[in-house]
Amino acid sequence: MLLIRCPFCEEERPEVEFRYAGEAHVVRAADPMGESDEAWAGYLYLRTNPKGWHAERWHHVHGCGRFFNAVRHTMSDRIVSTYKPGEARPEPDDAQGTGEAAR
Amino acid sequence: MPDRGAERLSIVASISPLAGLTLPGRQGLVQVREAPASGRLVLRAGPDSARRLASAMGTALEGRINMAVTVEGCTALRLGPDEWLLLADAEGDPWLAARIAEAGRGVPMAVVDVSHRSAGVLVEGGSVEDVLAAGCPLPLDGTGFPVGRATRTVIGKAEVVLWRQSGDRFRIEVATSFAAYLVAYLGAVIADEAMIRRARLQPGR
Amino acid sequence: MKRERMAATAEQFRMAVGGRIDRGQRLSFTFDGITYTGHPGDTLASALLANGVHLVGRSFKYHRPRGILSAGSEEPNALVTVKRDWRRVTPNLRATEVELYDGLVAESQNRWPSLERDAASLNDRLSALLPAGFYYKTFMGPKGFGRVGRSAWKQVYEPAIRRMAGLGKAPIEADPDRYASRFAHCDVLVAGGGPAGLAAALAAAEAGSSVILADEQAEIGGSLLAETHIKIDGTPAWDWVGRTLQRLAGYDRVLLLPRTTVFGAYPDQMFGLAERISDHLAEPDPVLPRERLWQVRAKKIVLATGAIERPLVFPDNDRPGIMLAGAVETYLHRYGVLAGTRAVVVTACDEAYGVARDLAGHGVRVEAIVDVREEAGDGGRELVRTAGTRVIGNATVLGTTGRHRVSAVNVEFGRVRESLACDVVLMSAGWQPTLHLFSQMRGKLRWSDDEQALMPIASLENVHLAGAAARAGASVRAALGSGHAAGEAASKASGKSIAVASPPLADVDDRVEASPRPPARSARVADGRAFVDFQNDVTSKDIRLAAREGFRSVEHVKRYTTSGMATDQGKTSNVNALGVMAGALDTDLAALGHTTFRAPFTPVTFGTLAGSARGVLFDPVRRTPIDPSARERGAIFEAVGQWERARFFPRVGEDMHSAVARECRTARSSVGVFDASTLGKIEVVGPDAATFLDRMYVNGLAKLPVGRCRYAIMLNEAGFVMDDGIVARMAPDRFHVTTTTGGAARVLAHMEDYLQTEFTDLACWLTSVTEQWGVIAVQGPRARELLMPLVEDVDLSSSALPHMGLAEGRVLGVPMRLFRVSFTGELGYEINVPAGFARGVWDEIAKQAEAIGGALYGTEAMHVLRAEKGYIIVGQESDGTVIPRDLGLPMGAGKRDFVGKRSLARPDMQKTDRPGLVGLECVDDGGPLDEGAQLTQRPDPPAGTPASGYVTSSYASPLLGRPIALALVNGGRARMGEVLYAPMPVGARKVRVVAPVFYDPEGARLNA
Repeated sequence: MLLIRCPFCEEERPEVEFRYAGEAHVVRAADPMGESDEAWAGYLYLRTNPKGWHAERWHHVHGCGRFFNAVRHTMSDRIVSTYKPGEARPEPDDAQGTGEAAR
Repeated sequence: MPDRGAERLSIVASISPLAGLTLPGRQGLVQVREAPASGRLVLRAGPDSARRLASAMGTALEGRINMAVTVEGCTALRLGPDEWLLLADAEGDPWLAARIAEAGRGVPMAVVDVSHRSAGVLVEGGSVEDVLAAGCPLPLDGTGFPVGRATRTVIGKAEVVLWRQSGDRFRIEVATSFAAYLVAYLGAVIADEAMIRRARLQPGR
Repeated sequence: MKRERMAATAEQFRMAVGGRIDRGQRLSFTFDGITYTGHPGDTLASALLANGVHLVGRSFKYHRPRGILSAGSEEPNALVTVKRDWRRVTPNLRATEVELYDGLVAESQNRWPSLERDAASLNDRLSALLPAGFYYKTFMGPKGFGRVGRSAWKQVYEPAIRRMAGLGKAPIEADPDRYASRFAHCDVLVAGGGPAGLAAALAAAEAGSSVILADEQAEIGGSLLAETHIKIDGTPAWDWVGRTLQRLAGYDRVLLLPRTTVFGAYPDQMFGLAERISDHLAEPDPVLPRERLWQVRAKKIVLATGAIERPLVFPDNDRPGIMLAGAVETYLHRYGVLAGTRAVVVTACDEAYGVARDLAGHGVRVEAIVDVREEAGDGGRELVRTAGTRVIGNATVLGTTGRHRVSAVNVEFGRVRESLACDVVLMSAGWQPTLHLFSQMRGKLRWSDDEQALMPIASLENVHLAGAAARAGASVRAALGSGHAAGEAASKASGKSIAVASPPLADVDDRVEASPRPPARSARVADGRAFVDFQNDVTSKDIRLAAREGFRSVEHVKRYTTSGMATDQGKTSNVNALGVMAGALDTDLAALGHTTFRAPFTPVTFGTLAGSARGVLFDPVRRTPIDPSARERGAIFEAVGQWERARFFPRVGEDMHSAVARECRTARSSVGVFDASTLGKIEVVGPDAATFLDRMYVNGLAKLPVGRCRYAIMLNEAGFVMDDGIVARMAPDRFHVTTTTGGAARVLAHMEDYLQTEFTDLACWLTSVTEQWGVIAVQGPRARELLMPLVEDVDLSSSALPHMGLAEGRVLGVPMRLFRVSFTGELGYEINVPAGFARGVWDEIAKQAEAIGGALYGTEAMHVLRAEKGYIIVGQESDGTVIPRDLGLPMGAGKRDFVGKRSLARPDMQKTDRPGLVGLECVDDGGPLDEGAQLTQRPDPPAGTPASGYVTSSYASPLLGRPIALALVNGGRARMGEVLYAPMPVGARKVRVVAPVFYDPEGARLNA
C-alpha cells in the first residue's frame, strides 16, 4: 500500500484513502467548440503512458477531498513528489525511479 | 386552505441511526457508546471568508487542517483546506447557524445542515488504539494521532471522520447507512481483541 | 471403520536428556491413523522422527517416497494435512512447522491407497516418459473432442494429470474460523528472532525506537535454540535468549510476535505479517481468531532472516532419511531426537563435520564423511580428529539405495567404489542467505564467488541486513555483532539515537567460525536422477534438457521445468538449479542471473487475507432509515449496489408477480408510497452554483427559477450519458441535486473534479446530503388528497405547486423539502425529511395511504411504472456509449458550453444508424422478453450476423395486460413499425418496434 503525501493535508496518508484520477496536465480547452475533431480526440483519449516518470492526478477522496498531482515512476511505483493543481510539474533527476538519486 | 384538524396531525419523533443496534464493549478494553446528540453543519469557505466569520466563530476556524477546535460548545473539525464539520452540543446548537448566517451575510461560503447525515459513535477505553487499529490504517498512537486531531479516513470498509477527544476516547462520525456496518465491525474486532488477550497470546503488550 | 493403531515402540529415537521439549508432559497424536507420542515443544516433524518415522509423503509427479529434509519453513517434502474436525482441514502444511498438540491428527498426501503402497508410484518407473515440459509435448491432440471443439488437453489429459499429480485436498466446507487483522506502525521491524534479530531488537529498543520483532517459529531464538556449545555474555545461549526476551518485553514500545511470518514486502515500507494464534492449541476456543494479518508500516526493517542450507545434487538424493545437516543438528540439540543410528555425511563444506562430531558424541555411528570437494577442509578434519571419523575426500556420490528409507550411499573416490551402509544421510552444500524480502523490495541479487551465494549487489534504502542473511555461514559472534549494528543503525536512520550499550558477545568454543566455501556448481553429478527441486520433482536432467532444447533465460527454464514453482518457491532448490543451469549452458553463475522472489514467503491462508471481511462484514450493507418499517411490513428486499431496497410488499397469498401487479395498479388508480431515500443528493451552494451546474448538465440550469425543478442529464467529457436526476433550485445560490442511487459517489467526484481543476473561477461548494434526507415518493391520482391533511405551510394545488415545482414546509410537524416530481407518470411528490424523522413520517403516510385504498410499492413496481411511461434508467437504457439523442433526450442548445458538448459534435455522433431507444411490442403470445436479448432481422440468423439491437428493459405490464419492453435498436425511431426477432434457445420471439412511451404520452396525468 503506497504512502502518498497529500499536499493539502501536508502529510503522508495511506493509499486506501485515495483514488487515482488519470494523467495530469491534460488541459481542457477554454473553447472546446473551437477545437478540431483531431485535437479534441487527442484531449479525450490520447495519453502519454510513459515507462518512467508520470505526472498523474490523485483524489484524496477519503481524506480532505482534494484533487492534486503526483509524479510517480511507472516501473518502481515510487512517488517522488506531489503538488497542488496549477503548480508546475517537478522534473525528477533520477531516471530509474529507484531512489538512487535520493540517497 | 384545506381543513387540517389538529387531531390528525401527529408530531413525529426523530430516531437515531443507532437505535436498535447493540453497541459492543468489553470490560477493561473499550466501550462503544452513542455520542450526545448534536447539530451538524458543513461550512465551506475560503481563507478570506473564514476570517470574516471570526465574529461568529471566534477562533474555531483557525485550527490547522485535520485538527478540531472547540469554542463555546461548538467544535470545528477542519477536514479540508476550506471545509469544516461543525458539531454543536445542546449549548452551542441554537446560536450556531443563526450566528454564521448573520456574520456570513455577503460572504462567499456554503453552509449546509447535515445533522441527520451521520451517527456519532464514541469508542472509549484503555485499548481504544488497538481496537481501532484493526481497521484504520493511520497511526493512532499519541504521536501520530494526538488529542484534538480529527480527519476523514476509513475504518474497515466504511469512510468515517475520526476525532480524538482524549487519550482514551475517539469520536467516530459515520454516515447513517454505514452505522450498522461500523457497529458490527467494531463488535467483531473488540471480540477478537478480547479473545486474543484472554488467550494471553500477545506478549510484550 | 477407522483404523487406529499404536506405534510399535514409543519415541525410540528420543534421547533421555537434552533439547527444549518438556518430557514431563506426553502428547498423543496420529499420523495416517497410527498413534504416536511426543512432547510440548515438538513439531510434528520432530515427533515423527523421534518415533523413527521418516517416510511422510509421496512426491508431486513421480510419487516417490519422501521424508523430512529440513527443520524449518523451507521444507519441500514433508507436507501434511492436519484435520481438527470435519470442517477444519488444512492441507499442505509443513510438518516441520506444525506444532504438536495433544490429539493432533495428521495425514500424508498424494498417495492412494496408502503411503507405503501407493498405486501411482508406477509414475516413477515411467519417468522417462515424463520429462520436463512433457505435457507440452505429449498431449497436443487430437483436436475436436466433443460438440464445441474443446481440445483433448482440456477434456481428457489435464483432468487426469491433475488427479494424479498434486498436493493435499482443499477442504470442501466453508472455513468456520475467525481471522483478525491489524495495522501497526513502528520505527524498526525486525524480521527473524535468531541471534542477529535479538541483538538488533535490543539495540533498537535501547536507542528509543518502537520495535516489532517477528519470528515465524513458536519460540523466538532461531538458531540459538539448537545451540548448546556457545556462551553469550557469559551465560549459555538458551539463558541469554530467555533473558533478552524478558528485557525486550520490558520496553513498552517493543512488540514481540512469535509464530509470525513476515511474508511480504509492499511499497513504501509496508510489510505483511501472518500471525498464527490458535493452530498450536489442543482445544482452541472456537471464537478465538485462528490467525491475524498484520499490516506493518515500518520506517526501517532489519532482515535477520538467517540462511537456508543447500542440499547436494546427487542421484537418488531424495530418499527418506537423507536430510540437511543443519536440520539433523537442530533435531539433535533442540528436540533431543536422533535422526538415525548410522550416519553418512555428504558435504561440500566444513560445518557438517561439526554435526558429525556431535552425532558421534551422542552415540550415532558415523560411517564416513564424504567430502565432494577436491580438498577437504582442514578445519573440518580437525573437528572429527579425536572421534577418529573416517573422511573420504574428493569423492563422488554415485547414488543411494533403500526403498522407504535410505539404506546405503554408493560413493566413488580415486578408482574405488564403495557402498556405505546407513539409515540417515546428512548433506550440506553451504548456505544461501534468506533474501526473499530483500528481493521482493526490488533489491538486486547476484551470485558472489566469494560468498558462494546470491548476494545483494547494492544496499537498499531503509533495509538493514544482519547475521546469516547478511553473510552466509556467519558465526553466532558475527551475527550478534551485525545484528546489534543493524539495530543501532536502523534506529539512528529513523531518528532515534539514544546511546546503546555494547553488543552482546559470544565466546567462541571449538566450533569453526567460518567454513571454506563450497563449490559453485554441482558439476560432478553422475548420471541418474538427481533431484534439484524436491517438491516439484525436477531433476538435474530436466534442467539440462531445457538447456539442450534452447532455453537460455532462467525465467524460461523455471517455467518450462517448473523448478522453483512449487509452494516452497524453491527455497532449497533455487541455487542448485542455477548451478546445474550454469553448467549446462557453460556460463558462470553471476552472468546467469536469478529468478524473482515473490510474496508470500510461505503460504498464507485466504482467511488471513480476508480477515473479518466475510459474511455480513464482507461489504457494508446500507439500509435506508425506512428499512425497519419495510421489514415489519414483510417487504422482500433486493441488493442494489451496497443498498438493500424493498422490492415488493406481498400481501397474504401473493407471489411476486401478483404483488407487483397490485402495487402498479394501485399507484395508477389510487396512490402508491415508495422509499426513494437511496437517491444520491448533493447540495450545491455558492454565488456561482447556477453557473457551475449549467456547465455540468446538458440542460441549461442558469435560468432555472427558484422554486422549480428540472430533469437533467449529465454527460462525461466524451459525450456519453453518465447520470441523470432532478436539479431543484432552493434559493438563488442553493441547489438540491439528485443523482441515481448507484451514481451518487461517482457524480460527486466528477463534479468535484471539474470544480477543483477546471472551473476554478467558480465560487461554489458541493456537500453530499444523500444521508441527510429520507425520501418518500407519493405517486398516484390521489397523492394530493393523501398529503393535504399532513402538510403545513404548503399549498399543494396545481397552480401553486405545478409539476416540477418545489416547496419547503412541514409534514407531520417535520421540516421538509417537497418536490412535485414523478417517476411513474402519475401526479407525484417526493417528500424529503431529515433522515431521523423519515421512519415516523413514512409510517404515518403509509397508514393514511392504506386507509384510502393506497399501497406501498417497491423497486420492482417502480421499474414497471417508469417503463410503461418510457422513462429511462441510466445504466439500463444506457451502456456508456449512448448520447442523449439516442434516448430521445435533448442535446443541449445554444452556445453554452457544458461537459460533453464538444464530443456531441463529433461526426460519429451524427450518424443516423446510431442505436436509438424504442419500445417493443410482442407480436407472439409469449411472456416478457429476456432483458439483454439480441434483436435481429431474421428469426434464424446465421452465426456471425451482427445484431440490430438489444432489449434493455422488459416487464409484464399490468396496465396493458401484455408484455412491454424497451430496446436500443440501430436506426432507432426510423424503424417504427418494423418487425424484429429475438432468437432464443427455444425459438425466436417476434416483436414490433413501437414508440417507447406506452402510457399517457401527452402527460395529462402528470399535470393533474
